[in-house]
Amino acid sequence: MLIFLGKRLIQALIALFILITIVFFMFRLLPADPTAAMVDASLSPETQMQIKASFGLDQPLYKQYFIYLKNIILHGDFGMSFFYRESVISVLASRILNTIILGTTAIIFAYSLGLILGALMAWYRGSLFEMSSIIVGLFFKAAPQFWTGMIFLMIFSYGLGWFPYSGIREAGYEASGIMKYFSMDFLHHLILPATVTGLYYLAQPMLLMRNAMLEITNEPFIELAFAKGLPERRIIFYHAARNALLPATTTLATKMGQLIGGIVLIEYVFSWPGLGREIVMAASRYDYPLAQASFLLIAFVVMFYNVLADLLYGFLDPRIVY
Amino acid sequence: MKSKKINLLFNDPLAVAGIIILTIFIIIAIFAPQIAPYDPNEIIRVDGKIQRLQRPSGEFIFGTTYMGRDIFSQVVIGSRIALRVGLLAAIFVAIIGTAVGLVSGYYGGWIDTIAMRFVDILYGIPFIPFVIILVSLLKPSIWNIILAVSILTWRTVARIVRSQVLSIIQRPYIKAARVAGASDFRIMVFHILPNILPLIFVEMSFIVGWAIISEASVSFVGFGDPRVVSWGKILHTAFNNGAVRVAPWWVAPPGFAIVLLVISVFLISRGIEQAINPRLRDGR
Amino acid sequence: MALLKVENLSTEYDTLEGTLKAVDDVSFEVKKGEALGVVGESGCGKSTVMKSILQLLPRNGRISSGKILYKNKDITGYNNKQLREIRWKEISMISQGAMNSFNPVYNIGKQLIEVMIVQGNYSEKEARDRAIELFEIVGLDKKRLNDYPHQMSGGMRQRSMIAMSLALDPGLIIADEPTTALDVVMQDRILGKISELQKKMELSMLFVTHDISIIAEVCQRLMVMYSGKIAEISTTHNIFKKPYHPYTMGLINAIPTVVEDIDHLVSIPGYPPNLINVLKGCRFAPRCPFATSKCRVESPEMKLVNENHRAACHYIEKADEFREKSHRTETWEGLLV
Repeated sequence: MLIFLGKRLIQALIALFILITIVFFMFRLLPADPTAAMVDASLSPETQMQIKASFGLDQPLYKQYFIYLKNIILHGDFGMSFFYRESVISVLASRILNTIILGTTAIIFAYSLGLILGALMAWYRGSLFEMSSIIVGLFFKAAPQFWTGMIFLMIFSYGLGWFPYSGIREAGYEASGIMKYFSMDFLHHLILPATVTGLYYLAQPMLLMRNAMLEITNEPFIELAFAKGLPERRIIFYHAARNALLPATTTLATKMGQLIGGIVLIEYVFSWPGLGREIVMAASRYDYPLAQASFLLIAFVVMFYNVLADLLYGFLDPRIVY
Repeated sequence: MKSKKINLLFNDPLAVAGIIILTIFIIIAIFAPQIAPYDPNEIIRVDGKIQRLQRPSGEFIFGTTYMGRDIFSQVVIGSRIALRVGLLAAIFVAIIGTAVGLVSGYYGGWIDTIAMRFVDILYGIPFIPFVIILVSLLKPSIWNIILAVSILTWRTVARIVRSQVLSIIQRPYIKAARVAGASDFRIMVFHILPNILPLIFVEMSFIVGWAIISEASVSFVGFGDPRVVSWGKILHTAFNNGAVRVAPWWVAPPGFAIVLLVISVFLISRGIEQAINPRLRDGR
Repeated sequence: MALLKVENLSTEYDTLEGTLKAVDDVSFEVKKGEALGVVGESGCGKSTVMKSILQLLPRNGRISSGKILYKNKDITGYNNKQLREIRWKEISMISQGAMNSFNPVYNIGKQLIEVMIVQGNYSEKEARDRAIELFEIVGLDKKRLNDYPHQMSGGMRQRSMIAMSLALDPGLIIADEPTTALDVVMQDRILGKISELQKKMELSMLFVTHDISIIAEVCQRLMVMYSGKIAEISTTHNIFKKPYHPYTMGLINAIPTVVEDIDHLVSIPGYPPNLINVLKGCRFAPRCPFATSKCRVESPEMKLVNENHRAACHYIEKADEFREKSHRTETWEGLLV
């Protein structure tokens, strides 16, 4: 188990390292001149050089690369943001948490709803309920998340006035530390973006669960559970669904990765101050240290969830031996 | 054999529905300039007054934008971009993915290891952020969006093709061809490829939908090709002009167009999948 | 007094090809403290009889007519709530010991305790003590309660299954091929255990199997089914000594060492008939070496051979002659020509 975990972590670290390298060179070698954004062309050449030097941009490329690597690995330092003129890490610190909270809430919503619906769909196969669940799942799968977000804003925020339409908390709302994330106000802001994101990812766990359940319902131990006189609800969830969980849950890793990647759009629509929104902002301002760091952090979150899901896999199925 | 499978596809009502919807979109795209009543960028004035945010009516089927442009015409013209991005991305991805998968699975060894490790790393790259960054670094254009989508998406095709190759390569006729002295290239292209083609088609139709949504997403956050009208860009403009608050008719049509088009390719790929895989057909 | 009385039971399945009558007008009873064996080839309806009693028929199946009286109450019309009052408390089952009779994701102890808590109103503590006691009864170490199904051998799983079936002191235990998945040695031990417990605890049992040879050890009475109908029913002793139905004769002849005076094993050629388009006449006629034109037209009634022996054959009076001939291989092989 520990060996497995170690191997998995080393794999992830190597991948991360290669990713850092690819990203570094991608930013430096592609045609856009990132310095243009921060160095005013009207300044004298000396001043331009000075500003470049202050960001280390006067060094040869390979040196910049090693300095960059060294700073990330030794100091967790991703450089200075061109736009904010402060360290990237301090800009992103709160963004990371915001993104993870939104993403995790969304995936939990998608999977708990998807698994329950999928289990019931298989149990009541051929019913109107099954048909309509499939249609709803497919619709939200085919609709771009940002569009669903806009529609939900139209209906639930502007139309019905149930939810705030942007941001993470009301202006002037005072709270500090971790309590910022446990307030009703925060929750109120979280519900709509998390629901929209979750609906987009609903179809897969739902359909996988349904198919797995269809297999399980023919197993002898389900028949035995009926013979034991257990209540139907207990048979569906405690016996059947628990066994059908595995195929759907193993997709959680890749889905969480996709979700965190696609969260850019939701954060944009709902003005959610997270990593994804920061990528859009930074990219449009050519603030490449910030864009680069946001991108890497998102990739890091993706890998973290991949490792986590592998562990979950073993926990769910006692037959798995590492 | 082939025609039998095509028949199966046409016997599946959902797949037929998908084919019909897709055909309608293709017809609209081809005749877009004839169908659209206005130039999508034209600022429409009546008696010198700009027709801002007009509700849907006989004159403007889907209403007008804040700048007084006809939304129906924009959506009609937008279908061209969606289809172009979808089809081209799917073709590129299929070519790259198939080539890598074939070579990787066929030769095995270190080629395979390197290719598959690389694919693993690609799987760790968050898709939309990557496309946004690449497009912004390369300057926004349709071609760059297609390129960015293709660079990442071939990973799925490569994996699927490789695993298929690994099983096909064990079949006796491949060994026979090898003994008969066929070149590696010949075996890959003439003996292995035809067997995986249907599966590649299934993947391609998924990618069409995926690419359409990606283009819309990238355009929506402001990295779309400034010279063209796409559904994502219509929504980008709508969002930035507060249409969510004041003009639902501006938001709904391009979104529904995306949903319909994507569902149609879903249905078609599902149809192909069931036609080639009899196990999926009976029962569920 | 009969504990379980099945009267004119018919059970059907809807299939794509039409309605399949898996059980056709079957009547029998199980007395208190006795074990009744139900024997037949696969598809003869024995499992359907069992599932009808437990009301575990799949969606496309239903009891089309007849009564199932348990302690003099007809349980065929019971709703879910009433059924739950019967299940496991009154009628429990021992299913095949294959891997999937137990839920693979919970340990055995949990599954044993579950039924006691949910159905038997035991407290957690009482249930655990009872589980230990049950494991002792079937000869398993109590440490094994923490094992997952895949960690046990087939024999241990089967013992656990027996332990579970006893958990709530049911009135009737239905055993469904309890030894099929086991190797011969283990099969013997498990049968010994079931037989021992049945006699010691005076359990009432319905023992369903395709293998007539194992019945002798466990069951006092025996019912042979063919193609959805009862072919013959009597005490095990009577049937092994003097079978009256040619099908039973064939089955017994197929057992090694039971009958000494045959040269080698004889098995019945052919397959059971299709139950969707049932032919006229005796259903065994196409495979019966003694069938006459009458057999092919007229369906035989259940006839009384003696007080507790019934057989469904037109020619029970010729049984002695048939029995003699049935020992000879040619009798059965002649059929193939």
